[in-house]
Amino acid sequence: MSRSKNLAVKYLIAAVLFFGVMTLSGLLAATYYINPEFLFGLLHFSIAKILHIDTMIIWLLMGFMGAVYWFLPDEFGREPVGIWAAEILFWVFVAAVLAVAAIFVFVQWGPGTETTLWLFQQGRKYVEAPRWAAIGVALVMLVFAWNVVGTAMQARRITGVMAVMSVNMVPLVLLYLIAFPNISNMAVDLYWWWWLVHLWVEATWEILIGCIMALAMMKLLGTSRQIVEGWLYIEVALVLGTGILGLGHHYFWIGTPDYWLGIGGFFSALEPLPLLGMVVHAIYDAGVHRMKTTNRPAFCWALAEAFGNFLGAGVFGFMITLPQLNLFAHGTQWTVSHGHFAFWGAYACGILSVCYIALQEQRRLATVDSSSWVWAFILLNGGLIGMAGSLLVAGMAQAFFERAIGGSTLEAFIAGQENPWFVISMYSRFGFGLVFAAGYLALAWNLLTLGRREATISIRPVVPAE
Amino acid sequence: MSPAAFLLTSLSLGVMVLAAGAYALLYGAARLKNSRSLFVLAGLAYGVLALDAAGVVLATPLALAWKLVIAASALAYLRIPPLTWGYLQRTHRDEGAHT
Repeated sequence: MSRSKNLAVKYLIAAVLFFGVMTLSGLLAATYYINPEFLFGLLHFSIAKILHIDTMIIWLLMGFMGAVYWFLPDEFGREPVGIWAAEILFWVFVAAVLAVAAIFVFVQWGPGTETTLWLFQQGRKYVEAPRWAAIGVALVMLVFAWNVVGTAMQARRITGVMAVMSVNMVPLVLLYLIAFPNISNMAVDLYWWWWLVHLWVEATWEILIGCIMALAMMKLLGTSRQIVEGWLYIEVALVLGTGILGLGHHYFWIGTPDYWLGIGGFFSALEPLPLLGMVVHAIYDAGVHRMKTTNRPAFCWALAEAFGNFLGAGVFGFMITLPQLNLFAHGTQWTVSHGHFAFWGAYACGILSVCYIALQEQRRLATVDSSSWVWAFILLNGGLIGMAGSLLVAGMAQAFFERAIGGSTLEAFIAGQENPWFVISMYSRFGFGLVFAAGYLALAWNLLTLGRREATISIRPVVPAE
Repeated sequence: MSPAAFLLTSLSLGVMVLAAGAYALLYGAARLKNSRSLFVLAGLAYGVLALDAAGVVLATPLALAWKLVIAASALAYLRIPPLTWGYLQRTHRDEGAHT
């Protein structure tokens, strides 16, 4: 295997391991809701939550990078430029993530000084990592961009997918620089911070996963380059058309001018439209190929991505996106349910699909199929749907009793937290969290053992028609 | 907006997009299998969507501008599955002609 593919395997393994940390810290965070005295004085709820959210970002990012390093040599017929730097930075990246996790667990916070910002944490949701680590992530992103763009330039040929990916590297790197400022005005800080969180997630990441899934479909189904690139261009146009100004739905109620209510609501309302096209495409692919593929888990995870994205981002998002409704639902567990389902559908399922594609080639398996991947698939998706459903009910109870009836007072907040709908939903979320964790264990076992005991067969990769 | 109207409006919007998904799913399945009964089911799913959208427009306290967006979306949802399917068939046919 090429150096790039070896690096990809390392990234994908690290991604799956951090996926486990995210699952564990999610279970921890869920425990506080049913037992508020849990780990009292030892580990604050906010730390468990930071670990959960930050490892989610990290494992997805590592998954994206693993997927790109996996496909790069096939796209250009050569090792990526500067692969040596990427190999070194992989270990730096992993060490930095572990060091930051240790700081979060053992140091947790510091006084409001520059030292705290540099060494302990920045206190900004999703990008809590201290500045030294944020500089490290920026460096990793920069080298990643160099690997992609530099290889395209040196190869002197570029495919449509790689052209889109290369252009996407610019905002991917530049937007991360918003992780650094220390703005004391909270409204101004949030204004820029959402550029990083929203535009990374709903613009650059969407395009990146679009490119990755385009390459995955060519490998998995032998779909022609012409078709996947046609779809990719449409997706890019729709993502940029709806996603960029969809940013406005995060600008509700944070001190921004009123016009953002209209802009955010309108463009967010358009966001389900391309997702509907994705559902039709998934049906078409499943039907045309009659679910026949040499890599069933990869194919099923790719299908799960289309449906999960539609349900999580489309259905769950549309319920709370219009400003008149968001006024009540903003920041409740309703938003959390949307976040869980949307991230899972839009990104996690796609990365798991690529894991199985890489595994098939790495272990030289003619076919990938077993019963344990089915268990992993059912438990992970079932657990996730159960968690998102429970959080949806909890969020509705919060929005209804605390916000709409109670008027968002402290008393109303307590009444909302004690409401039986909310309490039962929190228990239910924890239960489904355990189901999800069992699914993770099944997935890890499957990825670890799949094809190990079977005779390996030399396989000819599916070559897409040009 | 009253608490009950808030919850009802929000749920109606969720049902609308869910019905759009069911319509897309059934439309795709109907085209694949060339099944009349699946086409009827797809039509029923869109009927649910249209009724739900009409309910949102006529009976909820959303502002007029949002009601117009909902009505326009309901019409767009009707066209997306056939347009997507047609595009998919065309591109795959072109591919077949080239290979």
